[in-house]
Amino acid sequence: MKTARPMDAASRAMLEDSLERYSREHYDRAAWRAFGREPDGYATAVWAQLGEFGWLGLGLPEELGGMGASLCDLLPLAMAAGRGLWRDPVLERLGFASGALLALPPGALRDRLLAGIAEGRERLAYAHHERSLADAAATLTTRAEARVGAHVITGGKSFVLAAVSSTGLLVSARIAGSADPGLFYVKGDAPGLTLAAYTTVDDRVAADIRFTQTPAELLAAGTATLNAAHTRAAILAAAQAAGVLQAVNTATLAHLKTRQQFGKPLAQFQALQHRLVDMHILQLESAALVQAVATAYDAQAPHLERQLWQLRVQSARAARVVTQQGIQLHGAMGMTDELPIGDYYKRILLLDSLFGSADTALERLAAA
Amino acid sequence: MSTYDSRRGGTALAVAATDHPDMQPAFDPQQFRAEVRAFCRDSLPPDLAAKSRRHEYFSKEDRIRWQRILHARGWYAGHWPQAYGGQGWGPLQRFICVEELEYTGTPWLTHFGISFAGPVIYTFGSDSQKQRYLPGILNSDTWWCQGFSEPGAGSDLASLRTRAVRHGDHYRVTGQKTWTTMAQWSDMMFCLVRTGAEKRPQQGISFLLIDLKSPGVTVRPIATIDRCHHINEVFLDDVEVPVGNLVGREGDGWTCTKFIVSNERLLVTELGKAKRLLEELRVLAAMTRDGDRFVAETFSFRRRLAELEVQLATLEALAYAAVSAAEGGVAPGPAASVLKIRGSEMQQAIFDAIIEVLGHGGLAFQTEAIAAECHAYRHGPESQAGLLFEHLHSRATSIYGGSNEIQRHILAKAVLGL
Repeated sequence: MKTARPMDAASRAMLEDSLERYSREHYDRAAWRAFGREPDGYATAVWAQLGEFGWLGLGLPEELGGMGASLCDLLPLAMAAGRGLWRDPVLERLGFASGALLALPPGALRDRLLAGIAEGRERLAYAHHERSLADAAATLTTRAEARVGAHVITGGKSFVLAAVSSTGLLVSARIAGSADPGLFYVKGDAPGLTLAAYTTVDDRVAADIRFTQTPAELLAAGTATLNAAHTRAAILAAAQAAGVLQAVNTATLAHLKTRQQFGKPLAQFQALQHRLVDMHILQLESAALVQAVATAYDAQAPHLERQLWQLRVQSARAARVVTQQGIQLHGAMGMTDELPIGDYYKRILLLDSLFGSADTALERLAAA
Repeated sequence: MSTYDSRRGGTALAVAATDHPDMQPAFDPQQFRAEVRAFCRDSLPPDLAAKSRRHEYFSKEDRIRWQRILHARGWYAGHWPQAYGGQGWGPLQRFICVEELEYTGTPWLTHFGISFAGPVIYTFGSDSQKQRYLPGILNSDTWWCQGFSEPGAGSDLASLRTRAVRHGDHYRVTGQKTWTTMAQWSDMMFCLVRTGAEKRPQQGISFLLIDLKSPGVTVRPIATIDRCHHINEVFLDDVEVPVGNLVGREGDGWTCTKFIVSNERLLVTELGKAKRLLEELRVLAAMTRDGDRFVAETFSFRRRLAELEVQLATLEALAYAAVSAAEGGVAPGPAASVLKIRGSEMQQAIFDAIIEVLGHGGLAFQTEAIAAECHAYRHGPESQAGLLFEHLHSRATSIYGGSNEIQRHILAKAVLGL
């Protein structure tokens, strides 16, 4: 696989500007609410647009229609998605799905899917966990049995985001007669596929999926692909969280400067000033650490797994404090649906559930 | 393996609270606690008990039903003086009762009538007001809400601007109240209004009882992040309120407010609720998978639970120290701001742990199941919607009733003399 080429400073600055302008012009609160009324909790038209801008293909190979940029160069996109509270499955498709596919050698199916992601045409969902979001490859019960020239999948997947609007699924399953798990591709209109959809805490849509002898194509056997998916997604999720924290801090600072009680703006109370500073520091740390881990990822550095646990601890703790204080410092207004402040908190709750708590990550670090 | 027994702690402290030889209570704390707990388990109707297990948000009818059951037993207004239909309980008996009501998961007693409006009326009100309003509070015929906060007067409540202008035998009231809990269910609102323009803003505030069916009253729901409707804005547009609805004299409003706040001090700890939630957390962790183990089996969870146990034991000790002092005649006063701070932090800490456990299975938030039994497809345990609602709602515990920042300000000034 070709090593990613980092973007030059000018291109990077242009990208950040475009992202900022896009959120400002197309993702205000009214638009955010409207997108939420779509069947999958986000607008597929928006997804297609992100593809047209070339943003979806940023980190994908040039020969497949992408820009071949590094993961570091993807961070601004992930942060913008956090700042703007984008509903779109950036994490699911550019993190999990792309992470899995990029780990595979070039091949007809793999290339077609990646090219489709870059274009915004292929809307993949990543279906891995079953009874718990911490399911490791070893505990999967969904199984794949070989049929002539293909496989069929039977089992169930839980809490799959962006499944309702998906054109296809990447599904992990035990391969019958083998110790290895495998990653399979299932077409969106495959027979034997049923979805039960529901709203998530951050007002998006997830689904529980039942597979009954559903035809599937094997992409790869082994755990490496699943790990690659998780790794890429974990880093983009931490970047998204760092973006959410930026938005919380900006909003909270503005609120304290305007809200007056006891004859003066709340921003003049020193106790609150110091708290804002603490929130600011936590956000800086989150951005710095995700940058460091993304750099290590691009350099294929060893001990990346340990860095991912560190990132999880820092990101989870910082995000919990900042988003909860964001609500607190808005007073009762922080409890209303009128402001996005509560929705930033809910997004962080969702991200934390996908990647595990700080406590769990600390336990892993301590045990290793 | 020893487990923290919430019952032993509370009982021991409750007994200790009455150890003073001159202060033998008219009741046996241990026995009373057991009585209340047994009554709740036996008398909470099965449908309400089922709702409670699901952490479903109780309806107005549910709450009234329970309040009347409690009142028939003589425990709904146990803390009221006997002269007004109560049993003259002291702070300890009241605290134990509320603790057990919370612990057994009975519908939260909405305090606006039974703990705020009622006591204000029998303490500061006229005979006519007592006759008119107290019976309705006792038998739950009248639902009350609290008209205090305004868009421009949150922490700085004294800066409120709702105006009541006297016109002979009535006031004309114009203004806007906000964050009014359950106003959509309410018949009456006790309301702080400005009747005077004194130099100190507190001196110009009066306490008015407003019939929400009066012309000019509009109640509008406020959508909250917990996705369940319970707070509102109340617009008052030239509302006619009889002078007979003024409690005390003009300018007595702040005194009534301080009286309510001091009554609320111990209740706001919500100790029984914390105990119930901690047990709930254990049960959830024991049935939720974390990969190939159950959450309850992980070291990180057990350590987290231990932290919460310490926090709870400390809160309990703090609360019973205050109750003991109150039983001995020392009013809770500003020092009880500590209970508000730590009570809210305890709840938030437990809900943080609960949502992490629920997160293992995926944070579905099926809001249609918060206040109604949902028979459609459900992801996660049946209590998930209710618990997520409660987690989000718990973010308000450090904001309402005087934010924790204000509570620290009170402690700094009134206790530390800063």
